[in-house]
Amino acid sequence: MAPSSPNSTPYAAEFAPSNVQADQPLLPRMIGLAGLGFTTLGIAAIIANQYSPRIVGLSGGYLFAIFGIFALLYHALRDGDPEIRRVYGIASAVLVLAGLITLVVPGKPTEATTSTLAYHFLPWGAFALFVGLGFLAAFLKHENESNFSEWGEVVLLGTGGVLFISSAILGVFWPAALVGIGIVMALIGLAYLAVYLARVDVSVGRGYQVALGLGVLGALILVLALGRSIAPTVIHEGPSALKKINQDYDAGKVFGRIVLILLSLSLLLVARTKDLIAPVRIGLVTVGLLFAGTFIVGSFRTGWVPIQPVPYLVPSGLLLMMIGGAALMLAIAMTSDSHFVVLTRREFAAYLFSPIGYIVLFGAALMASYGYWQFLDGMIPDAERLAETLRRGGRMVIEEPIVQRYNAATLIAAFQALLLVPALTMRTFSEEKRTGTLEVLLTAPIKEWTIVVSKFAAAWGFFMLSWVPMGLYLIALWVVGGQPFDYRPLMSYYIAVGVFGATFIAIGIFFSSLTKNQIVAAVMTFAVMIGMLLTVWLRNSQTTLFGSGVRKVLEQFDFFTAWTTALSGSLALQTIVLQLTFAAFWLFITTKVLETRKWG
Amino acid sequence: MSAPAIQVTDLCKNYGPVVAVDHVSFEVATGELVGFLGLNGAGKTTTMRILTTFMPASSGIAKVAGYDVMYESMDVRRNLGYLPESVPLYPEMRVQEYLESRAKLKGVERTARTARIDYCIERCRIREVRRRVIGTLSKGYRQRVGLADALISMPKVLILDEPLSGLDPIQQEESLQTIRELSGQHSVLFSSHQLTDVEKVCDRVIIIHRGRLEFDDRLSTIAARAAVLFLEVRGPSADVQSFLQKAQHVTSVQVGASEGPYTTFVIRSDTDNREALVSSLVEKGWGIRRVDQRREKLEDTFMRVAYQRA
Repeated sequence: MAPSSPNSTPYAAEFAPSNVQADQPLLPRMIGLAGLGFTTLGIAAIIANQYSPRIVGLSGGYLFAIFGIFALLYHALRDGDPEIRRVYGIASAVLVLAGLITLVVPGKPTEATTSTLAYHFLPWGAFALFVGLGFLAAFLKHENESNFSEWGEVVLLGTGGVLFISSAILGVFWPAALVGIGIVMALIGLAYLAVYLARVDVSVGRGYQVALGLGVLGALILVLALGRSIAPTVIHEGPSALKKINQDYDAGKVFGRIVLILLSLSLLLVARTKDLIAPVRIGLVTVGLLFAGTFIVGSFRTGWVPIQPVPYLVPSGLLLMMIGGAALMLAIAMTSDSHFVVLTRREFAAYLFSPIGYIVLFGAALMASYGYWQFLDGMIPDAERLAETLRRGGRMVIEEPIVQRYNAATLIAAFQALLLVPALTMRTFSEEKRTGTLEVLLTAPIKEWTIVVSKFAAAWGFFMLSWVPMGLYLIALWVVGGQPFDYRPLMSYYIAVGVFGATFIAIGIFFSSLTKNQIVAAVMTFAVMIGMLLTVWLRNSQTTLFGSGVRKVLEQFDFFTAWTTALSGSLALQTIVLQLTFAAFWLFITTKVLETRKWG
Repeated sequence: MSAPAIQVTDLCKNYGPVVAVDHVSFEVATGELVGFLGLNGAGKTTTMRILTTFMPASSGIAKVAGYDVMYESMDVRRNLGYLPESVPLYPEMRVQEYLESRAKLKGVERTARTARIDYCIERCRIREVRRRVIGTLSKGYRQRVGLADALISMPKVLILDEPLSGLDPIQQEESLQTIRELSGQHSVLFSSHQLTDVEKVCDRVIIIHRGRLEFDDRLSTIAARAAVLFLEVRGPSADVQSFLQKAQHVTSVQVGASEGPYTTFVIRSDTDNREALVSSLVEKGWGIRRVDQRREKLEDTFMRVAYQRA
């Protein structure tokens, strides 16, 4: 309450804006109590149903339990009372412990997995850890005594570290276990670490070291997985990979190999960027030299890898790269000072703070559930006959590739894209122009191009996030069905969605930069995308309205057909390159629009 | 001699046919605190936007911290802290994380960042609200957050557009104090409508009217202008006037309103000769009802400028 400076005015110094009165958390407590009741009921139902059918069935039990846990979480977030929050803290510690224990307790093998280790991890252990994280975060939000909150942070860091590092070790030495257990462990571990890093000061001290260590580890895993996927094959094939059948050098393949070598060496150039810390520079140089060396060696010598290497890229290599990549991205997002990272972070968080983000995700989940239902319906034509067959101990055979039957996915996906892209991109520049924050952004020492690309990255990232529910359903099918299926067409599908999504988002951002009115931007984006969708009609019709050349050009905009063919496993490289070029073009002219204010 | 913090030479800006800024030239020396005054629509915000590289000028040269705003715009922005009139902030972010992200964008070193943010928070007196969501803050706190953001990179030049508008009297006083404390380390150009406040803290004042620079001088010059003497005298106005005009040290005499037998005379002299004048008038037998001395204030200068073209 003292004046802020010795020569200040005789007025009383200003207080904090209003009196603070502790909340009477009556409603949250009631909800918490109800939640406790539901959870107990649910768990009892689940346990009882293991022995014989009860009034409250198994699915009812799950429903009650999940609803109850959400209610408890809400209470934990709202109620700051010391006793209550510490009870939640202890509960979260118990859950974390239980989750970690399921990692080591063995169980019975089934068809899908021959390993007995971590049998109960999916789904119980994972679930316990996930819920435990929620309660731990809620506990730490209210806890202001430093001993307890430090303990909480130690638990966060410890659990996250243990989970992530174990999944990395698992991935390196027992790649088969990666699908399913490994990746879930890694993701949960990263979630714990993310919450930890969000709480501590990441610019100095321990927080910085943890983030740095995570980044280094992630990069190491990424490079290791990449190397192990590429190097053995390259060295095993030797110079014959560059030659045609008649032992002459194939110009195209040689050119491709030279490009790869140059790309690897370009990492050394990237290492010269200023403002990079020493470990990053060393890492880039080492990786660049290693890869270049591998490619060079593989072009001239053979014999070092005599036996055909086991295919590693799919799925273990890819999954390990994803885990390493996710860790690296988390570390970069937390500590990097690059303008692009800072702006992207802010933009992405803004989606999570506005209703639009949740509406988009909820809508996508709804559409994914409808698509999955249609998919199952198509796969199992006659449910009664199936039930009859199964009761008699027989089986039903469905031919691969089953993912192709996910046709509902493409129709639903087209609608999803049509509706979600304008919703996501309409506020990117329009709101900043309206509120004036663009002025503050453009008078800071940031390049316009960085601003545009960061908005694009955040919107595209969120767009791709809305396709995760579809993937989750298929993971559930894998786990519950017990039988692995060929999911490789899914990868080409996701890539197709990704590149076309890039074009859509870039168009949306461009229109947003033209106007202060979000609705106008949304409508213009929607109109362009409808136009693109309508080219499907062109492909199927016999109309002579357009010449064959124009027709071919217009067919490139047909994303519906592209997605359908991608789902059956074929995606042309030309399509990918074309769409990425389009996206870059739209972003470029958006940058120019921003720069026009400088043209007087 | 080092380059002045802000140097504007013959600046013009037209929005189509509308001339917003008309051949304006001025300078702000390093460490100076300059008040930028003018009626609404006079061209203050436009000039500031040109200086902060948000807008290009139609002609003329503007330099901030020695860098040209058109050709060396990145360098200008690195040495500049800007607070627009509407104080645009992201309403969904918290104060602390907003300042952190702005510090990163402006290139504040990682090792110094936490200390710098704490310093700016203390300086702008927003410690109590550092964990609050920006959308829930009142106007006064929003402006202080904006000021903290402008300060965060310790820029050489601060340009503040109406930093006192909308604040309650206590907040105005405290903000003024903060701005005055900033002026030694930074060069500050701020615009305001609170003439009394500007008078209290500024070294120099620039007045813009209809796009043209009408006044650019130190405040001390205004204060040094000789005082004006108001006398209410009972007597024949013509005689009194001629007598006063012939008195020693008197430079000009104007006749004001009459109220009954008393007439007001406005006298300008080159020294303080109140006593001599009064005693000489009384000797002549004319009664004196009022002896009033008024120094010219900033408000008078401003009104004179604002009304001259009306």
